[in-house]
Amino acid sequence: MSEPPPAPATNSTDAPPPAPFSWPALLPLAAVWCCAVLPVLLYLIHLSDPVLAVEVANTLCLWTGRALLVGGAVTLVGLLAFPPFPAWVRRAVDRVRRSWTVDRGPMLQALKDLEHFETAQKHFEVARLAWIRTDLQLVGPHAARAVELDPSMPQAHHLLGQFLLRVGALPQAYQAFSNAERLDPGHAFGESLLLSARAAALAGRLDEALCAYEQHAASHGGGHRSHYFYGQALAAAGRPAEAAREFALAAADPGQRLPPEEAWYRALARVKRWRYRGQA
Amino acid sequence: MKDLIDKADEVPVTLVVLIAYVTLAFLTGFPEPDSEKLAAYGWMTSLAVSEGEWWRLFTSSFLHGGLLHLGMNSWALIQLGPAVERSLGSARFAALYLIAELASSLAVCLVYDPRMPVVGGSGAIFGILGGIVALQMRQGQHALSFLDFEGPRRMLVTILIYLLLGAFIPLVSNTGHVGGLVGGFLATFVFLVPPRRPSRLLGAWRIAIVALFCGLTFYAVLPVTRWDWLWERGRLADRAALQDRYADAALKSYFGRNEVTPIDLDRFTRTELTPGTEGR
Repeated sequence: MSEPPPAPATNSTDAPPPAPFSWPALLPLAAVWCCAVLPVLLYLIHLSDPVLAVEVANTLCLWTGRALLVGGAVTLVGLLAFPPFPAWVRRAVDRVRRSWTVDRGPMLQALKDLEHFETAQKHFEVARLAWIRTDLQLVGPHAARAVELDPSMPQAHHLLGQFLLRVGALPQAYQAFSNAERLDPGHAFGESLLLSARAAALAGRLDEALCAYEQHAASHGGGHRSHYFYGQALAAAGRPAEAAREFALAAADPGQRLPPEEAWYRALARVKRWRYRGQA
Repeated sequence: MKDLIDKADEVPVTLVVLIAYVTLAFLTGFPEPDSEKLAAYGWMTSLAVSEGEWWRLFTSSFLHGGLLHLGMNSWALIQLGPAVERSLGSARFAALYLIAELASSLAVCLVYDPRMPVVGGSGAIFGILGGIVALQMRQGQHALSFLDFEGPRRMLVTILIYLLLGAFIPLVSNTGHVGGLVGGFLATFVFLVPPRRPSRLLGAWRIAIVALFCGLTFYAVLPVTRWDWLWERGRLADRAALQDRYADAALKSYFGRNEVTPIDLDRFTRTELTPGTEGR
């Protein structure tokens, strides 16, 4: 994943600064120009010698095919060596395994019960099981209904926030996590606070996000994921030195096998640590 | 000019395209269209485009090859069109549709058998999908941040499944789908939606993409390395030496090799020049 280098501190009233220039960015541009000019070039060659134009085109096709083959092989090898790829595969396999091995019975039973009487707890149960099974079409409506029936249920707010964050409804996700945190400070071992900061950061509300991250670090310490999120927010806020420090913490060797989710963020942090190596 | 664009924004382009689909379906024979009518109303073959009928690059997307074809493309357009049109505005949506259609037709001209006719709006519909991807890429903090969310990820998987289906279903021009997808993506990403951070290279990219489209259109109209075009030029040449050069070039282009043998010549004569035989 590519990410632009750190931008200066955000201020919603100012226009963002232009993205920095980089020479590698010119390569695809040059490739497009080559493709654009080639037909005209072939036509000009054709005017003097039609056979030569065909020979040039055939040779180019041959070498392009070879280059694509070699490029594909190199990309494949590079992916295997690139830390986030194996971590991503492990996380994806874990998610699929969980969604396929969770028994549907309790969820179907809860759905059947809801036909006769509805309670916030039943809706929450359906939403929770559907979340584990990655059945997002069930999660949203049931979590929202649970919140509607019992607004004092922090776990329902938290689950609704997780769903909203996953589908990209960032302001609503932030609100849901904030509600969970307000009802039960430190809910889900600080997860609500962390994810509210994440939602705020993704929505571009960096001041609130940084404040929440600091609060989370002070009260719950930090894991690979929280350090990575915090580092991202610091980088976006134009504080590269602190971001580099957080990425280094997130990428630190834990000395044990991490769960897939944490391993994924550690792998991402290793790339970031490399990118910010001169900033610390 | 701004008033004109504002007025154009009120026109529901999706509906106009849908009406065009249905009207042309009835004009060309419904439910089973007549090939002669399809040819008259603008189906596209690379051969016809290289003979000067360039307008077929655009008209083919409004014609369909039967009830199922029409039904599927109309359904896809109804599903995707209104949301993208509301998001981009009608004038820009119309531009997206036409650019994607042009890209799809150019891809077909570049790769497909020159005598094979092509009809259908699926290239443009894939262009709309490409446009959606570009829209999502433009909304995040950086180009790939949209992958953090479930909806865009699922859409990418859906596009991949459609492309795989297109590769295995006979009589489906997947080349056109890929061309439309790339064209729609480029049109939206480079021209229709401005980036959140100003980019120094955006102007250069815009010129390069326009040049690419011009170059490819130039090749579609003057395919100087395509065997059928070269063979025809050879047939029309007044000098024997020139006829031989064109014949040699056509053979090399047909086989995609710079060395051709008498056996190749024999094979070419049997498959392409003997009446009543199938093409490649």
